[in-house]
Amino acid sequence: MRVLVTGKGGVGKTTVASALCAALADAGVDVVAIDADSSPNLALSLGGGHPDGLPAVANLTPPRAADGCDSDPLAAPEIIERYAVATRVGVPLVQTGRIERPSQRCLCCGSHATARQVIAALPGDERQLVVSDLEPGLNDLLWAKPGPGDVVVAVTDPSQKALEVTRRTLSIARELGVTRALVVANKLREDEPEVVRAALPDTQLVEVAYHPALDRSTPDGQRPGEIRLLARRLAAEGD
Amino acid sequence: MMRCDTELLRSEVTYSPAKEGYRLVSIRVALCGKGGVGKTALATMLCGVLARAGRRVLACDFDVNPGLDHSLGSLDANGRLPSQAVLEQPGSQYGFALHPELSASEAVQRFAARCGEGIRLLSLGAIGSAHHDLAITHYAVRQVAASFDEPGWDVVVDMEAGTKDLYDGSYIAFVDLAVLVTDGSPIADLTCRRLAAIARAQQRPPAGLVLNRADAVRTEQARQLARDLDVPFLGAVPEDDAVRQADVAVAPLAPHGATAAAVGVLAQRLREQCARAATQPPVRRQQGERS
Repeated sequence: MRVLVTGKGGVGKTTVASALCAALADAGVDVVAIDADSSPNLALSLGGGHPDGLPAVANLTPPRAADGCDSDPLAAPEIIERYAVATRVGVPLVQTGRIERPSQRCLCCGSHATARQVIAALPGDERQLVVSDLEPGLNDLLWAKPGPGDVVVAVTDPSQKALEVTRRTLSIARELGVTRALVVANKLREDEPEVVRAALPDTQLVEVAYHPALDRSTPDGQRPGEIRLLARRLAAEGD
Repeated sequence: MMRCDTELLRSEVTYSPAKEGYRLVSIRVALCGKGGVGKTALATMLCGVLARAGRRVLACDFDVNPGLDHSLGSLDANGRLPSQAVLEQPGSQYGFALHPELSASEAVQRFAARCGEGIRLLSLGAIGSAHHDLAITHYAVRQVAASFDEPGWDVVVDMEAGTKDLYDGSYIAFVDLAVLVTDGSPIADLTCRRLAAIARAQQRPPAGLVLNRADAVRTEQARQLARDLDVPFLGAVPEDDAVRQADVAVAPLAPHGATAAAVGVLAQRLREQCARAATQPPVRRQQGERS
């Protein structure tokens, strides 16, 4: 099963993805984490070391044609063997690509094409859960082409901008035939759960309170209780 | 697969020599940084401070998850270019450019949304469907920002989160300088380090670093980061709950007190950096060059 974690920048996608991975691993689930962000940082949260010191698929596989958008297709075992790194929470992590310098290749190429390929090559199965931490916004989600077998986790905070991105995410997920989409409403203070519920009626919500300790920190190994519950639900669905 | 023609944009790069002494150098900056550090809030407050000082401002939302229209309190349309303003250019992957009979000034005059006194907004629009067509106007909007050069106007661009907007090297086509924004978190700082490296590789060192949601400790850390990156420290805009609440309530954002003062200092320093950049020789870029 693939779990795609998406949302506006800064809402806590990486925090949620890492907490989810850690909680799933705690529950004995076979999990693989993918950092599909071209400015990756999931490694910091999973305890895998500094992201810039780790391998990234696109940075190690040059494009096939000098002016083309595609590199050679990758096979799942090769990705895991060659590029996955171990992390302290016990979940192997694959970084898809890191933008290190300017290029004349267009925005759809390079790390994005690779992210697309890696996410497609690792579909998971009933025993293995693949959790992808996507780039901010909606582009990656469109390219990942989720379908009925996948779970879309849209992370939001109570700001109207993030909620607007979430509304569009849910609408696009429906359009693509995703039947399992849920929203993690993150960083909620006092009366803000109401703001989110009003903005996203008829939506499966996981509400996570604002944790001052998580604000502007790298949440190494943190697992908020709400995310533990979500992990248990996902683990049960996989069975 | 056709070649991805980012040269479409590069052809629009023009070098403006230093303006005459009596005329203020225009600010032409792009705010860059990790998602959530407050690029949009800063862009909004910067536009407000500039407009209140009597400048006219072209605000550009280059994020396909736009938010600048909300924060600026856009009164009418969302500032997108209509498809009639765009002409097909066969042979390139994106294949579209601004209609040759439409100048940048006309495009702004006709299509940029009005956001209060002195501020106009151009935006790429939002991805609303799995079959979105934003690429059609995407490059035309960038072209407008690139060639818009009216005296008395400043240009403030709100970039997409992360590093990819700087990746294709075309940002220098529409602004003079990138402004690195951090909120002091280790990951936001890391993004600034990456952005600085990418900007330098294009022979365009950033205008500097600005700290948002600042307190005393983080301000000291941000000063150190600016020294590490060898860029000017442009200032610290304090943590302000009114800014956060405006985000939750969809209220237009107008800074007050210490926040407004800090943004005023930022505007002044940005103008100084843009004046310095205007005395530098133009960036040369060769066909097929890969840095």
